[in-house]
Amino acid sequence: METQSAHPRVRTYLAQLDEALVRLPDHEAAELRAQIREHLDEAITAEASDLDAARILDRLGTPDALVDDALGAPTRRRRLSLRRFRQVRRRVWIVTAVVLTLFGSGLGYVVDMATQPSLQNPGGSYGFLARIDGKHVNSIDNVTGRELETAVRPGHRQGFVVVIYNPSNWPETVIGTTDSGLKARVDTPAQVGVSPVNPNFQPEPTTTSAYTLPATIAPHQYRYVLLSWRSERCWGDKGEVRGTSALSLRVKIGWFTHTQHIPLDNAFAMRGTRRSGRLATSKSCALGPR
Amino acid sequence: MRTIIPDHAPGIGNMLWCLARQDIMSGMGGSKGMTELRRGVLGPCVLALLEDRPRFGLELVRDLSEEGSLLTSDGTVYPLLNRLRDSGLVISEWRDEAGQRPRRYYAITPAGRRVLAEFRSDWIEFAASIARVIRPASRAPGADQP
Repeated sequence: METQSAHPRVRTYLAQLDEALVRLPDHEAAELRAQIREHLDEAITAEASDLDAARILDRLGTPDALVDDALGAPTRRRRLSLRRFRQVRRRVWIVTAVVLTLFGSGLGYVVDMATQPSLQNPGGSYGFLARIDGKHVNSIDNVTGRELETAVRPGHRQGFVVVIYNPSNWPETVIGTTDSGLKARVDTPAQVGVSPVNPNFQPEPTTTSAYTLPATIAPHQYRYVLLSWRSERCWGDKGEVRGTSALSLRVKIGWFTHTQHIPLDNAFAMRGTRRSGRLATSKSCALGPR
Repeated sequence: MRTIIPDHAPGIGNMLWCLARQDIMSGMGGSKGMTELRRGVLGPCVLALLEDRPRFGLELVRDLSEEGSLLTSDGTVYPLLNRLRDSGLVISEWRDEAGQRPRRYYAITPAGRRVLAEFRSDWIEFAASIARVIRPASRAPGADQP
């Protein structure tokens, strides 16, 4: 049977009723709306004139009055008002809880990001980059630990390779170094690179390995890291030794970038040779190191 | 002001009329007094109508309207029906009878019948008391006497 709810006056009335029904609990509102709609469908026939519809709606009472009736006694109205207030409060609490949870999660995320442990040299410092340097290594045990020492080759590229481990739960990206390498002058920074090779799968790094930068070390993964430099031409006399027992890397974790000082299990050192001594006393070096 | 009580037996509509007049006379305000009075007794009136047979909403509204000024507005019936149903005095069910639109019918429950019987007994007694008290001066004992 054709419904008369499509009558413009009825539509308007039902829309006003919907607005008024928000004062009722949901199930009561739905029930009352259905009853009123049934009433109108029944009362306003297809033949009903606009005037008839207006009269029937008028007899039905205003939506607000209907809802007032449904609310009943003032005590019930107060109870429902209190419930609505509590519902609003509950919504506020839920929103607050969600916001705090999100904020807390975000804060936790950031704190977690900022407090991850630094890269480590777990041992297994591999050695010097060039084979020729590796051939002339002296391993010296002293009170501070073991030192791997090789001859300086003034003006040549030298360096060492170490195994670096990422103990954190975050990827750590090596973006540079603050080391100057084993040389006196600091205005020519050393180069650092990370091999994609996992030392667990390739126990010996090769000089042909691609050391790249920036390079990301995944959580709980091992990588070879190379620090290389061009050794100072005016190094010094035979027997002069310079070394390092730590590696300083610029590392980015999430949004944060900081410098990590990574202790090495073996110190690396260069010692002066007769040739470096001659160069150091040459006329060019007498003017001071370049 | 003269208040006239119909001569016939005091039905629910007449008693309402009587009590409503009492509210007006006591200064409660006619409209408010009548409304409160109607609201108070409409439930038993609905139960009384449903006692004969189940009825659908509009049918109830029409039957109540025929009784006079029982309804302040037609819509009043529906919240009332819901309250009666929530109280277990009335049940509702959909009926899809041939040739007619599906309708929600309301029927009185045994609990509703008990409540109605109690109310009917109390009301008749109460209405009679009111009628005796507020009968017009022209009918008061001894009023005819000089």
